[in-house]
Amino acid sequence: MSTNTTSIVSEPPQAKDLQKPRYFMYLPREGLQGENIPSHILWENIKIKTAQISFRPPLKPKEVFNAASWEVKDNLVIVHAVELDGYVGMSFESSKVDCLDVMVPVKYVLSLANGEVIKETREIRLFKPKLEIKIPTTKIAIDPKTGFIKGRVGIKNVGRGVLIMRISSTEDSSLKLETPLEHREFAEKFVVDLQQEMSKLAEDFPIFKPFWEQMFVWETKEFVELTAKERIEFIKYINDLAKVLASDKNLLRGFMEGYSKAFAKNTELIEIVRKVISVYESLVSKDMLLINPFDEVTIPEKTGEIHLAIEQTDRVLDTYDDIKLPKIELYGSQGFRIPVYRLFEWG
Amino acid sequence: MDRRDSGSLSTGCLSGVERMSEDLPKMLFGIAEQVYKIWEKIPKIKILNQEATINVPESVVEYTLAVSIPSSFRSIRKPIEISAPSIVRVSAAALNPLPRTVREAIKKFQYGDGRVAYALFPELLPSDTDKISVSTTYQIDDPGLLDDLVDRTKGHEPGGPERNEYWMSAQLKHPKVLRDSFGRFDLRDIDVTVDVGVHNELKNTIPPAFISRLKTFFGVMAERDPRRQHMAIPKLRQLAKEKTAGREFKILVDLEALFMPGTFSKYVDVLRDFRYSDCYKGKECYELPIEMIPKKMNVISRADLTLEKPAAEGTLIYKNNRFIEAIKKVLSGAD
Repeated sequence: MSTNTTSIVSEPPQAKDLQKPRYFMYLPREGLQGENIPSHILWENIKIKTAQISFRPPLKPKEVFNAASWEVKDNLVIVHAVELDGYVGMSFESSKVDCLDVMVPVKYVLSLANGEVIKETREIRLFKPKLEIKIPTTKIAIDPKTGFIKGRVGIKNVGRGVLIMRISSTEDSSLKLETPLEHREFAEKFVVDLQQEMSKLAEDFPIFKPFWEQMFVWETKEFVELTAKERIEFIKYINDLAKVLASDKNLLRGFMEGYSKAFAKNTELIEIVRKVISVYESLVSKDMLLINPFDEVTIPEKTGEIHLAIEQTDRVLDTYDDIKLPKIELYGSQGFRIPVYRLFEWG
Repeated sequence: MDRRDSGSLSTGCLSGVERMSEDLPKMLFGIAEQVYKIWEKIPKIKILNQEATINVPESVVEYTLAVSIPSSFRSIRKPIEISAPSIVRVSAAALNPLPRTVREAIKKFQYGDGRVAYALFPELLPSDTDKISVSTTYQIDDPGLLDDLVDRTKGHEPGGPERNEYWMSAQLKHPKVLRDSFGRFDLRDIDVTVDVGVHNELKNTIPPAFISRLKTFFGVMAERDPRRQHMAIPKLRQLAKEKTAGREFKILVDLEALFMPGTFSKYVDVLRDFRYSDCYKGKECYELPIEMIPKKMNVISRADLTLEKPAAEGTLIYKNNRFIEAIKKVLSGAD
């Protein structure tokens, strides 16, 4: 689908029109708080002395392209000279703020050699997701025969963008949330099989070896639990891994085959993954993804108390504060097991 | 005040310029340099210009060298050999008095060990030209190269008033380095792939009753116990009374057809510097008894960058309302 268009004009353009000063500033209109935001200035038929780009937190400059000499002062980037005339490129880092939605103006000031000044402002709306929890009662009644649940915890994303979360029981909780044994066994076997496949690959491709060694260190960590430092390390690890894989087609093919073989050896896992995906599906339309919906709580007697915490992140793996729920009493007519996603009313 | 000369703000990272000077020439300009050196050594010729075009989807570089040749050049009897495993084509053109290709001056041949090489025969060049160009097309086997040249970004979440717009951007990281080597440097068909979620449209449009009927049919078909099959008959009879009964498979096939690239592309507009290129189904499927309908479509848009237009921006608009109408039309059983 081409966007090439023919301009309808009353007369052909004159040579002088082509010499007219032109400039263009680009900034996306919206973005997720925490993602990288590109921006650029293009100009023609103008002699630029300096280009200034001023902004406000949560934007912060990450990279400047095509600048021969430039400086950063507080919330201002001043480009004194460009390498190639007609262009300055930028990449901003953005970070989370308290507001769900914030408008950030970016001002572009071009000082021309003839003393004129061109000023333009663009705005970007930066948004983020946010969980809202409503606890109607601290007692949840469960009918083990019908599966009917009364008093579920209300959970809703009142912001914008997908929230990825994991629910776990706290250390002081008397009842614990646990991954069902059959899921755990399959997952552990899959990891062992994957380790074997990747070990063969590391022998054949020494460049992959350090990544293979680190892979299983990261495998033991939950990404919603990563510290800010670990998150940066993890993103760097993934980027470096992607570069190494991309540098050799045979290595990339071997890596993909390794995963396929490990999956093929554990076909039972596919069924579990499919089940988990179907719960994801129902939640993602509400901009929420629960990564452990089938972790379950076992109540051996008729009643027990659980203390739950929610860890969260978003599509750019930004950190969010954990949410600790008050202690909740679960009760029914007999002992029972229940998956965690059923304790919530997904908004 | 933090003053810098160029490159990345991230501390501890190899700056882009350093990476360019260390690795990129080998990957990108290796063959070009080789060709340049061959011509540089030929006496009395003058190199006028160098141009390079990278065709991103095919990972192919076309490197063109323009040279002025003295009249004695045609008397060189030894052919000028240009060879490397990654070279896929060599061609030559006379630039004056009128530009034209001179296919006859380039021969492809094979050594006894299987090595393929190209040779330019000076004596076969037209006698009326004193300026020629030689283009060498070669493969680059580094899919990561593009990210060293271009900063490509896209919105992670849909925006716009109906939350169906995705921004895309591509910016040259080091145009000066390229300008220093080439009179012209073009990057053609730089790709940005956006995951367009279609799950919500399916979820809000496909009636649960339709999914339930499909599940019943597939359940009965998978059932081997004759008693259970028999027990399902009353339920099937009940389902047979529904409006689209008996047309479920046609509906499924028609639904799947909406996700064929030629059809889905009608529900996508790509604006400004980018253009629509292709689309394909995402890996995960919508929760139907058979995996036919994706929950995401991967839409590839492309833009060109040159030293004259070093940055590009565009918007992908997914026309979700029109797509919902199309799904509804299929579900109504309309032919």
